[in-house]
Amino acid sequence: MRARKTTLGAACAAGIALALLAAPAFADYGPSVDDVVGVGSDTVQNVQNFLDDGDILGDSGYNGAGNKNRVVSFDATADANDGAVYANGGTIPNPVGVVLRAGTSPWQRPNGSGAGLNALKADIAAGKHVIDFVRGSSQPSATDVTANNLHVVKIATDDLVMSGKTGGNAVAVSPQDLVAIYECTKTLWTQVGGTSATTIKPYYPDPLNSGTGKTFKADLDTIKGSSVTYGSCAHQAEENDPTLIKADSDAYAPMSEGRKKLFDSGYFHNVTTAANGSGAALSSGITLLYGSNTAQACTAPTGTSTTTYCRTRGLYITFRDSDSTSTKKFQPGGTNNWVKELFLNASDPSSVWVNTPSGQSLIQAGGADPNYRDCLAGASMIPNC
Amino acid sequence: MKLKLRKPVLGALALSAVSAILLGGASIASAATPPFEPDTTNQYGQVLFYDASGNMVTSGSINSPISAYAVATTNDPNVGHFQKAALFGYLPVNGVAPGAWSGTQLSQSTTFPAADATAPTGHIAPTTPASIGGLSSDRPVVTEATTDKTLAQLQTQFPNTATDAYQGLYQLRVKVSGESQWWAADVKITGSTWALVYPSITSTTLAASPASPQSLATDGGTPATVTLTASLTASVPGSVQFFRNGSALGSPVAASGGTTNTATKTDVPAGPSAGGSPVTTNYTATFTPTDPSFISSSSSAVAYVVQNPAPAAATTTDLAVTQDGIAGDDVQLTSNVHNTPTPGTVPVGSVSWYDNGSATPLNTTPVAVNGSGVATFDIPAGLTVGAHSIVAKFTPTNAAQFIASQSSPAVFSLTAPLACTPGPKCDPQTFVVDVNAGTLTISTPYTGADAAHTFNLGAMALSSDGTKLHASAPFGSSTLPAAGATFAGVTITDTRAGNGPWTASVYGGDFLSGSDKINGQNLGFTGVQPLYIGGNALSASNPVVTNDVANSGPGTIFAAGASGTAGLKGSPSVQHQFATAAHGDGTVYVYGTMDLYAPTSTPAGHYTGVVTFTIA
Repeated sequence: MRARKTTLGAACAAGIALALLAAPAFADYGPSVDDVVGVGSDTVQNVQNFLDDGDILGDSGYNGAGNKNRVVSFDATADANDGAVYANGGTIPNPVGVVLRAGTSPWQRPNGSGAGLNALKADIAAGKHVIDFVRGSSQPSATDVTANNLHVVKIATDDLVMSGKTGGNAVAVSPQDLVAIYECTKTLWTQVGGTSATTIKPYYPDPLNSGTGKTFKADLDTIKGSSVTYGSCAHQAEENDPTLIKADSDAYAPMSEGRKKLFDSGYFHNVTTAANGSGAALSSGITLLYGSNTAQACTAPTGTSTTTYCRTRGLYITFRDSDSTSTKKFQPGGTNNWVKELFLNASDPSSVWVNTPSGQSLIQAGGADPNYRDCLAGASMIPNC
Repeated sequence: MKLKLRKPVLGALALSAVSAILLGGASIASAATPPFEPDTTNQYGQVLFYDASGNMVTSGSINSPISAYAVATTNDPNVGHFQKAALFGYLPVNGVAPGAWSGTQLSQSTTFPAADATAPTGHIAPTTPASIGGLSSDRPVVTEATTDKTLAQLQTQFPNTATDAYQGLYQLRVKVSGESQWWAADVKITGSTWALVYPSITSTTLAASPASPQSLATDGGTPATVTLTASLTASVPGSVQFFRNGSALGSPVAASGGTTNTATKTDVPAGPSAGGSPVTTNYTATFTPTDPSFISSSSSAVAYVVQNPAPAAATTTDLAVTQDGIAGDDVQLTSNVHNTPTPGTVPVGSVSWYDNGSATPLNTTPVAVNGSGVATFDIPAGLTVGAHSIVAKFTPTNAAQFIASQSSPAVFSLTAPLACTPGPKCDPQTFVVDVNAGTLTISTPYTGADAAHTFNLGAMALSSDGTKLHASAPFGSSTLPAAGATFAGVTITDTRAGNGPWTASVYGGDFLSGSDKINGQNLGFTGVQPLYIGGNALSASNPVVTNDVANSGPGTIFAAGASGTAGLKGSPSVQHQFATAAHGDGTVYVYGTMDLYAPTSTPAGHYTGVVTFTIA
């Protein structure tokens, strides 16, 4: 089940930001204690939504069986079109609340892989079981997994590619120029191979709470060979949200290839039109700048590579390891706990929902590439799973 | 690396991958209806299963995909519904509403109408489509795949532990995404097999009588009326609509009901015009049960062919006669009649036998050819004395089917039986007579015991040119000897029984005088002629054929010691024939001239040689 906030407010173009006023959530489904609740990555949220509730092509999701207990995956973003809620004039998403379980107070909606993982860790530390799993566009650290007795499975991969407004001034740049852009030592497109003398407006995802943001920052560090410090010309923005990019010919940001596919599929619609089904399909309005990468085959960045930045990263699901061995059955009359039902069954990997042909089809419909793997070998995390 | 997955689709799945039992023509006895059926609250309709060949599947292994297609029996009533459906499996629980049962998705969501051209058997209301893919775009169809979950997996995930009427039951639902109702079928798992228990399936089997093909009595004639009989699921009331070439054939006919549940309809099928090709009329029947919990069914098409009569087949007839040669004794006649172009098909008709060209057969009633092509006729009273020539004649029952034929004559003669039956007034006696074996002899008077019994060639004379010696003397003559006298030539007498042939031969050795010799090759027997004795069997009309055994002189005269078998020189194994007779009884004389040459080097002396006459 897809759960998201209802947002109110008016769009107001002010500088680089789409400004919305946050408002309390009222209509989210309140999961029961027997439902399975997930939070976390923006990148993975559509994939998980499809896995839970099906896609717009009529492919049924797990909840389509109509079972008593359901999977409820709360979006990272407040907007169903994967848009964040910003303070008026701001670019950093505003925190918004969410009720993760029926009968509980609103929590801050975890926005991103890191935020989701932190929420799960806090849930564990508090001795509660509000959150069951976390979506992640980056792999949790071995330290976190060990310390919190977690288990991680990879369900898909997705490419992270630089993007700009379609028809805008952005161009594919070398890895070294990419670092220079984000450190603001090169600020004009003409300095990095472009033809426009206009100023580059780089955006980056939340480097602390977003898996995408962590991955991007770590890759910049790798290219530079030392820690990159985002310059004052660069601004944080909601990951994978093309709103800012398509509005500005000089905007420049990493983008999920899967999200771009989802836009191109016609999934997102214009919500400024009254909800009568007539809203036009949204286009991303952006172009992925693959540069010297061919056939969208990404090469992991290194300190010396001159290949245009493009990162293939895993999409992960993290949960308590103890849940995988729980004797509590997910559905009445069933034999599987929720982990075995949905994400991990060591004795029959092909039977878990995300790894069935139906599940993989839904992952593809969400824009990602199915790629299932248990990321733990015994008790040890597999690096770069 | 990007992993691209493709959906394996069962639409083209080999039949072997679906180890399901197909619905046959036999009546299907439906199991007890599950206690939760019919469920009109949650169900739009039911689900039927078909394999890749379009055969309805009602049972199978739980370890294989259920079928190739799961087909809803009614259309999706929702406007703007998705064009995809998936198959789900649920565990029915007593006391729990069907909507609250637990279950799992078995198949992927697949697009309908299905990409399929399979003509399904059975009936998918309201009509049987030409293909599953040809169903309405509102009719949900799930195309199953080899990777779909099996009933065994469903059973593992949701074990059925019921001991009541729910025992072993699972519900299979076709669901369209976003809809709260579904189409359902209930199956019962027993061991490793499943069987459909709801909806109840009916069967319809159609037969036509007379059987196809129907051959017209005459070319281009009117076909005989055909009776169509639909055999239906036992004890299910309802009606049957017959179809002729897809068009309704009259009004529906009520089923008879009962254990032998049938409905019949008659029709005159289409037939060919004179000389035309066979014409096929396709009949089908659709059974609509009165009780809607039974699924209606349609028969397979019966292709009924009407054809003009085939050309008559050629036949052959043979005849074997069993008789003992005696007039009045039992005579048995046996004839085989063969179908020349199609030996496996026995001609139909009868045989009569005719003797000596009579127009009236020996048998008063024609004898039918049996299933092996044989007709026999026994004449215990036998036939009359004298020659007989019997012919068997086959007459086909249908001349348009087979051509008449007759045997070659069987010729034989019968002799009269005994004049009377032995008794007081008739006393047949037994007489015997012997015919001696007889003898065959050859003789001459020259036994060599004394001079009177020695053939003397006289003194050899030196030829006038002084190159050779020569002697010659008659060996018998053309004059019969006086009564009691001995013939001077060869006398042959044959008294053997049987009047057989004989052959007379002669051979001789060298003439010796001490150590001197005259080569026997220089002796010849020439001018050989028979001399018949008047009144004797051997005569000019029963001749003895003779030939000369000449020497080589005077051209060639063999020296003493020269090897060879010329002239009369020979041995028991090298004899020289001089007379033969084909029928040799009697006595005949044979005469000629003995003629001897010798080289001039021959020393003087009295030379003696032995000449041997033989007959065999």
